[in-house]
Amino acid sequence: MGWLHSWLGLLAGLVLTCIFATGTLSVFDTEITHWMQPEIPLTAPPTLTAPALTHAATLLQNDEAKGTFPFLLLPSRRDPVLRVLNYNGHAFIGPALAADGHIFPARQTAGGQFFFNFHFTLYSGVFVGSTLVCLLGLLLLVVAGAGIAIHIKALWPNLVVVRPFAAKPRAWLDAHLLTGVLFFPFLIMITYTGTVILARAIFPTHPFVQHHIATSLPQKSRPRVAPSAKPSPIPPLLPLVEQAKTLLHTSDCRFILFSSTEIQIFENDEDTLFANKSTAIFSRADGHFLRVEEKNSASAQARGLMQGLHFARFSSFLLRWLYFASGLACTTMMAAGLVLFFIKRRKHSSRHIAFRLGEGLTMSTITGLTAATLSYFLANRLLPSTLPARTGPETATFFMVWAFFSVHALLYSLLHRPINGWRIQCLAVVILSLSLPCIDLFTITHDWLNNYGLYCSVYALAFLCATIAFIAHQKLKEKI
Amino acid sequence: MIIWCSVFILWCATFFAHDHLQTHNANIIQKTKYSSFWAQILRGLLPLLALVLSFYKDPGKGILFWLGLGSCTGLSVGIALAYRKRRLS
Repeated sequence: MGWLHSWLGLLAGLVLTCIFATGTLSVFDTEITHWMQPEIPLTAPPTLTAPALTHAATLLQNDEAKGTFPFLLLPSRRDPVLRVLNYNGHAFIGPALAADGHIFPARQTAGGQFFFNFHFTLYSGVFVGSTLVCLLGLLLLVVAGAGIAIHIKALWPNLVVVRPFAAKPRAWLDAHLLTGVLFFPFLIMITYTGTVILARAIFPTHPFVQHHIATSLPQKSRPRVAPSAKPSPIPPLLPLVEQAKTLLHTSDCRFILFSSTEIQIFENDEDTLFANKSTAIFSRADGHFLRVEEKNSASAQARGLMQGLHFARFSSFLLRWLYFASGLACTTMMAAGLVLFFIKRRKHSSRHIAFRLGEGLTMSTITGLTAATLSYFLANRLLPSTLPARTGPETATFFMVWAFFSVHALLYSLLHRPINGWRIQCLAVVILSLSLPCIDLFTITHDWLNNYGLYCSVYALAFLCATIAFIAHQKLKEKI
Repeated sequence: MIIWCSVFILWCATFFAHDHLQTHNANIIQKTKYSSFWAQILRGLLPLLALVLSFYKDPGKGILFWLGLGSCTGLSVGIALAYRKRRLS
């Protein structure tokens, strides 16, 4: 079990740490997008108006003419503006509209969507990336099970024991165990639900499911409409949204999808654990009501619960912070496990090239990813806001900084100077973290009275990151 | 918010009681039969009380609050105890 936990943990842990770190940031993907688009005021209550919907429909039809598949994201308490979104292969991007229909002159950015995409595809496409992430999720369940089996005797008495002032291996082991044991329910829940959501990537569909889909879907009985070459114009949307609210017995609708013949309006599921969105479907030609699709079957409810638990799109702010803190703790647990692996083996194996490569990759995962994330935020402020196709340079900054830190980490590790490498990278993280609030304050005019919580949270997290990196830098003066 | 603060405090008391009962504290913290008895009671009952409070509004989200607050409280108490023991020893 010890061998399984150590080696499988090392191999999977390098990527899983990145998956957990970006997943943790994805909890606040909408808020990150808000921070990255400071031109959009978030002070108005979420109101849906006819002028905004009419202008959105025009923009949407223009996009459709270019061969894309845009949709409308309706205002909600969390994101009180109307958005016309397109999928660019990695993120949903598009203009945001005010209540009177004018487009906010906001900078183009992938925002929090970038972290979400990286979390479940590793930015390498849905097929390859999701399959890999799903397999790693399965491995994590095995590694976590093995970890519990190893430490089972000490779990209960050492439930809240941490000795940060003890010798280094002991302190790192305590940090690994404390976070691993206390957040074990969260770790298992989030890994299991994430793996189940992506399970279609690795498990073939059972013949029963295919048969069930073929016999139960209402589309079977519906007359098929030949897809028209050019989609018909969109009827007025506000009456359809009001009708959909009545039909779906909901106070809010979340988004509207368009096909060449139909308009599908989805209910808002922010207030429930189940991410099951019932849909009201209207004819695109004249706007008459076609049908309601409710997802009440047992399998749909189970799937909805898995997605609801994993995506954490709850309206409760405290619950989302708890998800964030738990994700951060699980990331720390994995990072501590990786560091511990190399501390334990440094005495006997530090001359092996595999050891040095492994330590370099660990450095790149922990400090490199942190620096790349901070650079992504900084790039948002430093790149000109009117730069065309801005998402490309922003994302490129993230990967270039990460590549630079990885090369640096591998060089220092291969040259037998890993401690120096760690120290330099920690110092770089301190500088990047502290420069984030400064550059933000100098480049943006803040609407402090109405949105101070968002900016203060980003500054607080940047200072926390700087403090941890500085403590690590100071501690590394002592020999590991 | 009052409910969640109460759940946080109940979890804090539970973890302090749990740590009080462990043998590795014997040379740092003085234990009596009376204090150990109460620590046992608190460790058993307070998480249940916190669970009842969490279930008060919405059982579905309540269980997430209960586990999430429990984990975060455990981490905070662990770090607080480490500093306290360092000062006492």
